[in-house]
Amino acid sequence: MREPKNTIHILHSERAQTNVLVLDANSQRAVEYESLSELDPYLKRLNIFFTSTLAEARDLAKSKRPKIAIFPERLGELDFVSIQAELKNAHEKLKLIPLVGNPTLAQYRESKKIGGILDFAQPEALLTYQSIRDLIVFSVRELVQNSSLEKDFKTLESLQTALLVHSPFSKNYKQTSAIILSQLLPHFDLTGDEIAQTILAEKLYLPTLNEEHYASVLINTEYTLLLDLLTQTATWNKEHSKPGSTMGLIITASNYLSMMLEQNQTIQAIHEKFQERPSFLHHLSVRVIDRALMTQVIDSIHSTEMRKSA
Amino acid sequence: MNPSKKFNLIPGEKREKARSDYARASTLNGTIGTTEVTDVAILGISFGQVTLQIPEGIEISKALINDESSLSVSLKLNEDLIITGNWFITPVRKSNGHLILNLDHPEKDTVSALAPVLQGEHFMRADFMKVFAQGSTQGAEAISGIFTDLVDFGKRVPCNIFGEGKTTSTTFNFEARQKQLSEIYLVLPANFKLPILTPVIIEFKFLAVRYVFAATVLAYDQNFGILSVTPPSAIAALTTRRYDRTPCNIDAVLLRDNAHSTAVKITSISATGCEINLDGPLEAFANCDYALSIPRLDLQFPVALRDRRGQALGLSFADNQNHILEIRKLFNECVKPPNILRTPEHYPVFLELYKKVGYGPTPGDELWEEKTIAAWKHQDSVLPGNTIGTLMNGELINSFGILPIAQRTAGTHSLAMEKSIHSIGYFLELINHNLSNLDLIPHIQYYFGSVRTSSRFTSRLYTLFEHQSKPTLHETYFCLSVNPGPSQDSAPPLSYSINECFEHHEDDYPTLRFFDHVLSSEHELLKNIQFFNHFEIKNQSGTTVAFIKSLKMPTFYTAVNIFSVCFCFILSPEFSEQEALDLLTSSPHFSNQYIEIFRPDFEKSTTGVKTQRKVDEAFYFVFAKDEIGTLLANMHRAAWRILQKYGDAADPYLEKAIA
Repeated sequence: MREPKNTIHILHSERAQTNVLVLDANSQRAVEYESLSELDPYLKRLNIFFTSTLAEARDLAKSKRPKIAIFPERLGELDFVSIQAELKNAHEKLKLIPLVGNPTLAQYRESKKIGGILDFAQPEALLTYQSIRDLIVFSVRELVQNSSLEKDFKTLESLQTALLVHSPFSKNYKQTSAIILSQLLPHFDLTGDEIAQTILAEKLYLPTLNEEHYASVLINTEYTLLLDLLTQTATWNKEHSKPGSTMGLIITASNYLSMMLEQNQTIQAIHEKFQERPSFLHHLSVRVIDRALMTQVIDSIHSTEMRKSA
Repeated sequence: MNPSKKFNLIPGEKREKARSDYARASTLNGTIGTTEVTDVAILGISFGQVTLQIPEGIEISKALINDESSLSVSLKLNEDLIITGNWFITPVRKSNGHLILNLDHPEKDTVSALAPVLQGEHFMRADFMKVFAQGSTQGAEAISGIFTDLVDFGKRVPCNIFGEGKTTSTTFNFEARQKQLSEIYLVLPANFKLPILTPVIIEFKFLAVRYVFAATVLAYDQNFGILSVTPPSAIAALTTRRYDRTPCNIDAVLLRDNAHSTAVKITSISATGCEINLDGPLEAFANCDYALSIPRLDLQFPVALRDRRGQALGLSFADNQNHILEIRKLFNECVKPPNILRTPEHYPVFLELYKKVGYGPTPGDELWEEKTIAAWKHQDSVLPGNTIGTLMNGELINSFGILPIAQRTAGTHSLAMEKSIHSIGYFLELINHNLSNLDLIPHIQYYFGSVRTSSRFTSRLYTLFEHQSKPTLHETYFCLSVNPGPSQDSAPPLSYSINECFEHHEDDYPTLRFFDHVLSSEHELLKNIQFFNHFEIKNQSGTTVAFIKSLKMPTFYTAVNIFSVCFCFILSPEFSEQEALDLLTSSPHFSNQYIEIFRPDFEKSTTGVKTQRKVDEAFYFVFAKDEIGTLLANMHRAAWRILQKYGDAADPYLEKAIA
């Protein structure tokens, strides 16, 4: 891995923009923990919202769309099952972590019916800042790591096969572009969601397709959100267009690199093409894919191919 | 490259002499390592180095001097901290019964490339400058943290580039979203081109902290309109505000010996309001009396030469003690606060805000408005512009004031905010502007603030004080704060009595000692309406169990009435907060006063007390005046954190947060 001297690392990219909601009945402690969380380097780039009332928690769940909600066993007269139901109603895609010691069977059943209990944590977690911080870090890390793309991969792969049948590109080309993409992504300051979306969108990307093609493929699927990202990519066939975002550039560049490798172009030739800044690579992010990174990526592709042939 | 500026006097003294009519002894006292030193004189200050003269009788441990590790130094001139932090100490020579020592700053070489923008004074106080260097893991993480904040800020952060005598303004560009900033991208400034590999200095201000770092020009990319430079190997973070300037353009006349006049323009004023820069056809500045006149504002005051660079002339106000009002008027004119100053035409909107947030009217006082306005008129005549606010759609949404509360201490008053994002967004501007005025209140050495721990803003502020920038002369004291109210009917504890007494000194109780120091006597500007009284509480056997320092003002004097306060310092563990509260709330001496109860072992979580009045936990913080930069930085960061949580709605206010 290249590591230029004095490099500055942008911190915790994958966790950036992740909102977490913590409900704590002790209002003074909630304010104190929220202040501490904002200074904590472990929680940098996460937004932790501490609140002590269910009404505010509901509002925050609606407006901030947190990914995780941590809440106590009881809040006034409400038990954790009721809190869970309220939060689920406010924001359905919320990972719920009640701080419950031993739930009763009835509570467990009721909770499951609501679609709630996925994880428990110890009720003592709110007693110290350190313990709630550890729980948040652990939960967010688990969330980022567990965002399994397996099911999505399979669905999109079948769509990809359908697209490839009607295109001049080979399956091998898309396999190589996916590997290149995975090597380029860690060099960009992208959030966990952005990385997942980019990996999925790349599955469908082909330089011959346009917005209408993607729309017709994605219609009536749960992946319509990918359409936005695919429209930010560029094409080098027929009409050249510009990438509309860093993610669009990464998808386009990894596919372009894959195609150049298929054509057995040298690193020098590929580098010169990138230096020309054709319109389909015209985005400031292309500067990140410098010669050193390009060489590193291409070498790893070659070594993978060598391993395969061996 | 390194400007070797030599001063005969230490800078604090030089400034003080320039603006006051009394001279001060130029000897310092304090500690070098573990050795107490007295009668220390500063012989010279240069880039990262201070030369000291100490009496030969004082033996600084030779082992420590010869050691390669640095020594902690803390030297004061009266109450002012002059030199703090860790320094390498080298004895130079002996001379006339004195030992001459060189103090070398450990980071001197790390920031040597910043010599054109850093002054010797920046190194002297540990809280004025922090250096983060890539060489250490901690430094590298801090630099990454600073740039991560810049990336997350959501607006392009402006910066200045200095190189080969040229200066230009631009902004950072992080749109490439690179994870490793092996190059820093800046928006390509118009008409700015330096040869590749030219050394440059980049300066930016973020959340009231000025950062400077040295870099090298790497490339110009016309395609994307960017200039790329090397990442910093070290960043200096500065909170001292003496060198910050606000540009302005005001016509003035420079009068020499009250005879010759030259038309000039005031081009900038310092953030502390005590220094200005002029531009104009200026002849050689001779050694004679000068005065600056601003006919449009009908102002005139004496000035002294500070420095000269080409056509530009730096001036200090020669006698700000006697011209405080004129200087404040000029400062307000130069800085042009975007908010409104509290002047008679704006009194009605200020009254409306205080009614809205519950500061008034005082129950049963039908003349509250008239009395309040009369009080404001007096305040605004002795210190014009002491209170400002933000007007939005004809309504005032926030307000903030600074007034003296004792001879050497000023504090916040009339702090009121509507609970809205606009109010927080504009609040930073109020703080920036009004804390600058602190230098323009005579005799003030400290800023004294009190906040409740339960609010979002103040809890962040406290967390920042405790965990991040902790200035050298900063103190935080927790107490139980009880809102004002009429005397309670309940019977006071019979086993205790309150008696008026003389000022007291309790050496074993640092909190009381410190409060005695900062709240020693009434400020001369407000002495007719501000009164300190002292009381003691004794038990039945005649032992003093608590001291009381009471600061009284007319009830209508400020909207918040915060300066009418009774500080109760519990001395004996047998005397509880509840007993103190019962005694004080039933005493007519302290009706309509805030009651603040301190005890030596007071911690944040205290047992609940019962009273009809509103009780909060609060903390007091006290800053030396020259450490206001750190306070501002903390306030900005606290407000930014709140703004961040508003998401996109906070965007219009982010630029204000950068300042």
